Amino acid sequence: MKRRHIRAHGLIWRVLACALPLLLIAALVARPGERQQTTAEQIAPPASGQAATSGAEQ
Amino acid sequence: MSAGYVPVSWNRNKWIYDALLLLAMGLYIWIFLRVAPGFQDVTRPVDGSILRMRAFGSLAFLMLTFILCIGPLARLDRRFLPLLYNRRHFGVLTCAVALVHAGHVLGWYYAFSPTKPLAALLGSNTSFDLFVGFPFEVFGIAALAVMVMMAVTSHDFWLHYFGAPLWKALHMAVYGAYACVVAHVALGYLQDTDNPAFAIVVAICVGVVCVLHVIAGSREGLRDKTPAPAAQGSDPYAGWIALGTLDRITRDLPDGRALVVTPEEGERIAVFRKEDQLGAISHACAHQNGPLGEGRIVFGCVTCPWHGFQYRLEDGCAPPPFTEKVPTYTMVVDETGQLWLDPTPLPAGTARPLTDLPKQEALHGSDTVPA
Repeated sequence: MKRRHIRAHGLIWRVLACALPLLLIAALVARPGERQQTTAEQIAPPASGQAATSGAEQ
Repeated sequence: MSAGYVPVSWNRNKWIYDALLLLAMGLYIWIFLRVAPGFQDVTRPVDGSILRMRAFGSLAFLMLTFILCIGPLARLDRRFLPLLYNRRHFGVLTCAVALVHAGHVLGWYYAFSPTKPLAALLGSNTSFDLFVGFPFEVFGIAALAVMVMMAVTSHDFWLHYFGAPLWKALHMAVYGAYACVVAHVALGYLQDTDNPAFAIVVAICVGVVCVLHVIAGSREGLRDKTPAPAAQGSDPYAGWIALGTLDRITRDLPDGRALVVTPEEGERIAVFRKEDQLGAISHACAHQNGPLGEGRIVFGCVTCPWHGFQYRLEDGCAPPPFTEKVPTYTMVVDETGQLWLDPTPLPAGTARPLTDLPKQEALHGSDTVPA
């Protein structure tokens, strides 16, 4: 590679190496509050014909 | 390698590379479509179209991540060079996967919009003043536009048409595209899921790409900070670089390999040994500035480790019918046996005499070339 390309790559990736993790952290921290997570294991078998998803967030 | 358009030259290695790639892509999609439903929130059922959209979207992200790792990996360890060889096919396939993802998005969310799907996509969320809730789709569109541009101009025809500097500059936009993809994912899907697994995978991918590039860049930068000193004063070789005695070079430099010299000014220089002769040419390949000095001499020609472009050591010209040329450099042996290199490049394709090595050192034959 030419030396100017090496310098350009180095500069670009130093910037990205700072910016991308910050972006990810900011996006994760700023997420809206935890939603009700309901996996299949957490749901009891529906009894007396009641739908498993009734009342849950759609 | 010629200046005109030539169809892509398929060979056995390319077929194997592409077949393995397609197999891995198919396997990923198949596994994703079967495994992902087991992890989803059953109170928020996901339609098959959305699953396919996520499958292709996540695959495009992983493929782009892997592509960006290939360059620094190949610079850090030669064993990764075969991955570099057909990276353009990898990139074109990534673009195709991203287009399928975009097609699913438009087809699913905007198929029934009274306006055109793309207009509906761009107009459905205009909260540009928000961070959470920002229309993350624009990042995806920007990344896709760059990937399409790169895929369309990936053929060597466009490399010759634009010239290497412009073509390289255009293709460095992939770094911006990756930043857009990360923003697209961070402000899109990561805001919608409570499952930490995906966030961890994204963080690992971003971390690996950044760390590899920073390490590879630091290593290259360190070389630039410690250039070979040029002779000073009124010495007849003032401004030239002393490479050591011929005896030492003969002993240390295997046949077919190069010594890479970094001058204080100008581009790096590759001093190759071809049997019992030495010659210096530019370290940067005329094709994509690949590191010629990290290549080797194959069938009598210096061969770039990136894409196999070849040059004669005698004059820096590609063998006929190809037309590429690289600058050559002058070397002289003084009366003490010291080898001097003039760091001023001769015009690309200039022939100059090679330097003969001492005959008695022919004992260090080609069987010393490392694999």
